[in-house]
Amino acid sequence: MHSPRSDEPIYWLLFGAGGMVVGIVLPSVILVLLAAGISSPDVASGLLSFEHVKSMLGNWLVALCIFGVIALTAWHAFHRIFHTLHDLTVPPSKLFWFALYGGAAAMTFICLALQFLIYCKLW
Amino acid sequence: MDQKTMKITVVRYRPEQDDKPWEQTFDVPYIHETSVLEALFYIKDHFEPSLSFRWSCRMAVCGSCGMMVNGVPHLACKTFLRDYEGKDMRIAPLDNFPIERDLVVDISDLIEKIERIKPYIIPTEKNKNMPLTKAYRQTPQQMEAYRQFAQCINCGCCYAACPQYKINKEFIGPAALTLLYRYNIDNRDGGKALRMPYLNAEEGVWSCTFVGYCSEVCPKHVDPSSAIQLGKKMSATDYVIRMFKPE
Repeated sequence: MHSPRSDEPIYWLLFGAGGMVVGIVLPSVILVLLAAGISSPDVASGLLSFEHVKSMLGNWLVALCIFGVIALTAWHAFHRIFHTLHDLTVPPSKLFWFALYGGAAAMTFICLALQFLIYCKLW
Repeated sequence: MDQKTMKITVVRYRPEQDDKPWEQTFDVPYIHETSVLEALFYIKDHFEPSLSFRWSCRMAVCGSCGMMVNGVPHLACKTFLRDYEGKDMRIAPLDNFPIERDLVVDISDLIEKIERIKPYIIPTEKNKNMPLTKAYRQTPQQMEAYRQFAQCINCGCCYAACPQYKINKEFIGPAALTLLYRYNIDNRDGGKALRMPYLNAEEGVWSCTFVGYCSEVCPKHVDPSSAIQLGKKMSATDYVIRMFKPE
């Protein structure tokens, strides 16, 4: 007899997508941010000023990309922590599951909510 | 011939007289070509006739002589004393299996799991009534897809290496999951639907956290962890398809 199907594919696919983001997209994002920070170091009015970054999020494509990077990175990281706990023989518990995947879901939701506010010019 | 001596400690366990495993140390002479299996023969012939261990082919084909050599799963016939020169050696039964006697372990759990996943070609609907005089056709490319995963000799080294199997004996484990994947991707096979439930279950591919030690210790370079990751891809694809098209 076999057990019921596992729901792990959902988390694993998010983890895998996050892995691509963390491995490929995130380093280039960091590189671009560093270049922007060095070429325009004034945080009050430069490229990385709050107002400028916020105005970038008004573009739906940029907003979508940034949402993807943040949310997928969160799912990747929390999934990895969850399974690393298991590898370290921490006994499996629903508490960790809810805390970690809840964390990823919360980050996704907060990111979505803030972006929505900015996109709709409510903030 | 340049002959040296190595101090070899062997884990002993005789269920009729020992409460728990204990260790016995021997000074074993060896030459460049001496394998761990031959060292065990020497101990059995010269010091301890009661020492029990499994072996058969002496050439890494039968998969009988898997054991822990200095804490690492190895085939005794494929491991040589020369590679441990200047060190002592400790030979123990394979980890994660119950000890039957001395270096002999009870691998019935492994055998049961291999049987469970149907490791044989199940004819497709089209080939069901094929006469015995006809042969299945397969191109070299189609064979290459699974060839590496078909090299498994069921020695159990990957189960001794697997930290997940150590924690959870329900886990189907590296060798059986590799065979499952191997038959699923064989173009002559029509039994994928029967095997998928085992692959999709929590104790199927999803208990693996890709530690990769199974592939490191595999004496036949089967790379079970690669088969399991590909199995995850297969299971995830199936999961998404079933979301839109339930069975």
